[in-house]
Amino acid sequence: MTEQRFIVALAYQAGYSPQILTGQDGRIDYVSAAELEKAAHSFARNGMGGGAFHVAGTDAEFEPTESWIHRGPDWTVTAPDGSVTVVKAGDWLVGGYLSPAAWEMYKRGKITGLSPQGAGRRVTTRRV
Amino acid sequence: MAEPTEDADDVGELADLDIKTVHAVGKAANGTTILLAKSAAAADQAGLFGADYVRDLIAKGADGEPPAPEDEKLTPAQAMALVHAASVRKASPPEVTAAKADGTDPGSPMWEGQDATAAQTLIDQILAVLPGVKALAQREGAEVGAGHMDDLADVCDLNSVADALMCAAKTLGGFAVSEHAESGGPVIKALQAPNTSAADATPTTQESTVTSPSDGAQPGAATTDTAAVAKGDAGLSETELAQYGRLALAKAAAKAAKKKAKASGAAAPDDARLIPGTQTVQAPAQGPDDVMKAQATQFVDAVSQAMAPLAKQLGELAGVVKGQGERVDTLMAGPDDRKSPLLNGAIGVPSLAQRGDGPTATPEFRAVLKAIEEIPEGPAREQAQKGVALAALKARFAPGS
Repeated sequence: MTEQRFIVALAYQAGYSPQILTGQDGRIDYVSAAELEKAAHSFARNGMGGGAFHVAGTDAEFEPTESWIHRGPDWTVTAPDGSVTVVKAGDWLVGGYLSPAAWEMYKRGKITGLSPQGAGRRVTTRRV
Repeated sequence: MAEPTEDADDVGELADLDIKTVHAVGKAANGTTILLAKSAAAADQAGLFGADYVRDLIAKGADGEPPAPEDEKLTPAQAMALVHAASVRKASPPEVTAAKADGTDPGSPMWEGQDATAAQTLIDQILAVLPGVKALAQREGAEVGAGHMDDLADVCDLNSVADALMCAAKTLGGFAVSEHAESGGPVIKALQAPNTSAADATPTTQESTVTSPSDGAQPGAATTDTAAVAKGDAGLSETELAQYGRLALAKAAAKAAKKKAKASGAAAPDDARLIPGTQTVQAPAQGPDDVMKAQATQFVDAVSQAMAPLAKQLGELAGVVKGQGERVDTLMAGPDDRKSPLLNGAIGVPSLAQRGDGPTATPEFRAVLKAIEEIPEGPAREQAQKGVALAALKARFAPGS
């Protein structure tokens, strides 16, 4: 049976979420819904490139083919790994095809999600 | 939206993002995982009709009448009749292309059935060869018993061949079962399957463990709670094959243990190869080379453990030496002005010290010093220096000086 190797995942959620983890730069960054929509649009304008593990030269490992901002009501999804994610309005989702090698890594749990790569500006630091 | 509660220095809001790429990663910073993953091709998804097929069904009337033109207005009754006719048509079984019945269509039931039959034939052939190999092993064993110890390796080799044959038969058994299932044949699988893992495991010559035949299970005597992945109505079941394998390996293990004991002159107990507390017999895979390797490994481990404190101490000493070396380098890098407090006035050349404007600064004293320096090095010069030095000190600290 031919495998499609197509995945859909949350690229980033709108607003702060306790789910957000520390990034590679050691910081926890969140994006407002408006800025996230602009970020998703910049991704489309830049050609919707893909890659794996933020390593140069891996653009063939993941080929994004869909990118959209969720507009509807809350969408509760039970992921293939059993975890439950609630996609909210304003969240940015990306779908695309993994290479055969990346698909094998997904099936072995080595690839579990998507992560945008680009440049931005930190505007505030909330103090609590 | 919840407010950030993390450490203030670690949480920030991003803006003006310019995203170039999106990467598949092991752990996304957004904290979520892949939501959907489609592995099966759309054409392979069972239970779905193709779009063209559905359009064709809708287009056809129940009695074969052509559909009404689009511009023709239908009464509600006519529309309902068409919809009903379409649904009736849809409910009829779809026409499918039957697989070729001659077994030339790869993946067809007949094709799979042929594979299952071929695999079963191979299993029978392998099992037919097995007794001959065992007989050879016994004959070689008899030679060893007669004192030809050089034939011991042949016995081991033949037992390995027997093990490999059993492994091949078991593997082929599993293949035959799956092919038989794909061919549409009946496959019975019990809910409880004790020893299934042992049966499924492919034993190797180095790490195989087999169950003692003392549990009473015999080939062909599978009970209802035994893993019974039956191969239809003929041939050996996978359970039977597994039991054949266990029996053969257990016999080989027991035989090897006895021969080893006999060769060493000691009477080993019957359960010498049993793993304590189990009915599992160790395979005769540990030859002299393996024992030597195990002993070498144990020796290396013991030496490593014994050397651990010494290595730690050596590491600490190396650190001290390195620190002292750095201190020396630092001192050597300092200015050599000979006036450093560290030198305390010494200049490295043995002579009388020159101290300020005291008596030692007079022309007469300098003349005396010059005369002393002209004396060849030796006891006489040292004696003269000591005398002058004592005189200089007396003059320096004499009352009224």
